[in-house]
Amino acid sequence: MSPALVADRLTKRYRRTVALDRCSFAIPERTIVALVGPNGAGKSTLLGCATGLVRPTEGTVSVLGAPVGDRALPRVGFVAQDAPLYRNFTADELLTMGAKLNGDEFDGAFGRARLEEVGIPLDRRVDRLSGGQHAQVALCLALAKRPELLLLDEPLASLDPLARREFLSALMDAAAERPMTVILSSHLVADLERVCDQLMVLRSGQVKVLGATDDLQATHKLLVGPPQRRRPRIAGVGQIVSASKAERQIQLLVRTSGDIVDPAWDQFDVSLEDIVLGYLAADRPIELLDLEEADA
Amino acid sequence: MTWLVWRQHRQQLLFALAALVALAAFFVGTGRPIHDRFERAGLPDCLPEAMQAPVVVDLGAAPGSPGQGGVDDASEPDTSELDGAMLANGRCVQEAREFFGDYQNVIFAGLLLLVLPMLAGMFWGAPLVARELEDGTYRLVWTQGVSRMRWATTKIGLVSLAVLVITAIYAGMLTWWITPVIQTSGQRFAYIFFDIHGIVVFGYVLFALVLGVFAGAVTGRLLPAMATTVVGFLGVRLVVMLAARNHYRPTETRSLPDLAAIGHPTMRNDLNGDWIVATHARAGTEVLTVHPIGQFWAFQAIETAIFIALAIALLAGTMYWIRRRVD
Repeated sequence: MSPALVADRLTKRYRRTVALDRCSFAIPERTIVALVGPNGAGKSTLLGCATGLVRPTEGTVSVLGAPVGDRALPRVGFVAQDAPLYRNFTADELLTMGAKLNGDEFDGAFGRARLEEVGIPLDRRVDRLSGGQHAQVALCLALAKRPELLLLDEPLASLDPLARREFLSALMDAAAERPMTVILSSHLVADLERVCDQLMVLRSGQVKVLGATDDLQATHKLLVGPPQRRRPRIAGVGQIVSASKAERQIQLLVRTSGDIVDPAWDQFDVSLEDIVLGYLAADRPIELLDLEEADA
Repeated sequence: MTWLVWRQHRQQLLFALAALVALAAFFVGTGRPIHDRFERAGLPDCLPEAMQAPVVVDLGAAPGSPGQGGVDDASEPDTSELDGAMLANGRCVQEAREFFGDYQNVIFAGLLLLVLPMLAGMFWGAPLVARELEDGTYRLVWTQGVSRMRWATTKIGLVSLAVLVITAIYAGMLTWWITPVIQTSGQRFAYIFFDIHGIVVFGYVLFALVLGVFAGAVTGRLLPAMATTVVGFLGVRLVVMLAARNHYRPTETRSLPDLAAIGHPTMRNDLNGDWIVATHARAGTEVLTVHPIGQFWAFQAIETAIFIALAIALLAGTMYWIRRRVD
């Protein structure tokens, strides 16, 4: 599979902050990627770079095999944060606009049919729609473009749980119907766990982890064992992602490199959320160093 | 793209057309009496010739006291020695002065018309990009299949076209309305008249419009963009008007005939509309430093060119900013 989005040492510096710090990664085609990170991690900047709304300070990003720009944009669907729409347009007018601003591949009939399916009146102005309906219209407009790559920036942030569910099922229907790559950003992985098959964790402008959710869950374990004076060496552990200390034991999130058979450690399967939290906590990778002091 | 421009600006267009209708009502309502009076006074027939005379007899002054209007104690000035043409011109100038005296208050309306182009910049130009940036909808419209540059050129192009058409209609009505007053004022070059009719209006409108778009693209905020448009438009207009316009063409000198030789009170005839920069008395006659009225359209063309050039420079700046505009 050729990648849908490739970043090469992608860097974006603002006056005082670094939003993206030499990110290099490739997102495989026809996957649904959860782009997760805390606020300010660089998620919007990353999606902005992929749509040409943000100009990288250094490095490059290409989408669907072409550099970002006028040539790539017709094949990319994008819903920005807060789903900006012309508020005095009706849903129908927005789809008309989509048809006028895009080529023949724009499928207005598909968009209208979808909106009717989810019960949104076509002739109602956008500013009279509920938050969930607003998000649905924005998604529908992006889907009607028939994109090969769909980028959604915090699409669920302003939605209530029911609207989230409806939004995601609409998205899944569309993804099942037609092959496309979807990248959704969120600061909560729980939102996306149900729909994504790839996870990308971004923190402080750096990609902490990127991989298929199945693989990640298969290769990450939570180990619980006795307090340590030194960084433990455990057979079968490739990387200690994060560590935390409880009363008489420590917990390690590890990335395995083989089977772990050490009887000193109990091992548990982890959820996607555990993995995300582990990588987000990994800025101070080994809290074990504090252990000696704490124990003394 | 055209559809989107129409959809986004149709309300503004309707508003502008309503304003045009209101202006038309004002021009027709106030213009009819002006034109009636202008024609009843016979001014359309006599003015073309009377305007040409450098000096005319002063029918309001007594004979035997040449120069600037002596005090008249006789009942009727003796005009018998004057030839017919000179008398006719004098009468025409007299009529024109009275007419202008009665209608010069339209100047106050003219003051309002001076700022009309600025409104195009504030209400059409400034929101064009600023509102998209302020509402965040640029992230919607700049990520569609149409390129950002085509979006900008179509939008600015069509809005400019609409504004120019509206300006043409407006300028046509205004010219009809104000021509009698300008002709009898002898001040076609005066700030108040030069700046509200002719082709300069098109230059001002384009400049104001693009200035608004530019300010909006740079600041990304509607109110600062509107404020910048007001300050920038008035500033540039004043500088050009007060500092530059006088230098568009070299001045010429014009000597008046010896007024004493006519034998009847005479006066300088300014009706032709020359821009009198200075007057000197030299050996009994007056010498005027002027921009002759024949240069009027050259001045208008130069001033229009200046503002169109500024508009083009601002347009290039706008395109640059829109292309570079990133988060």
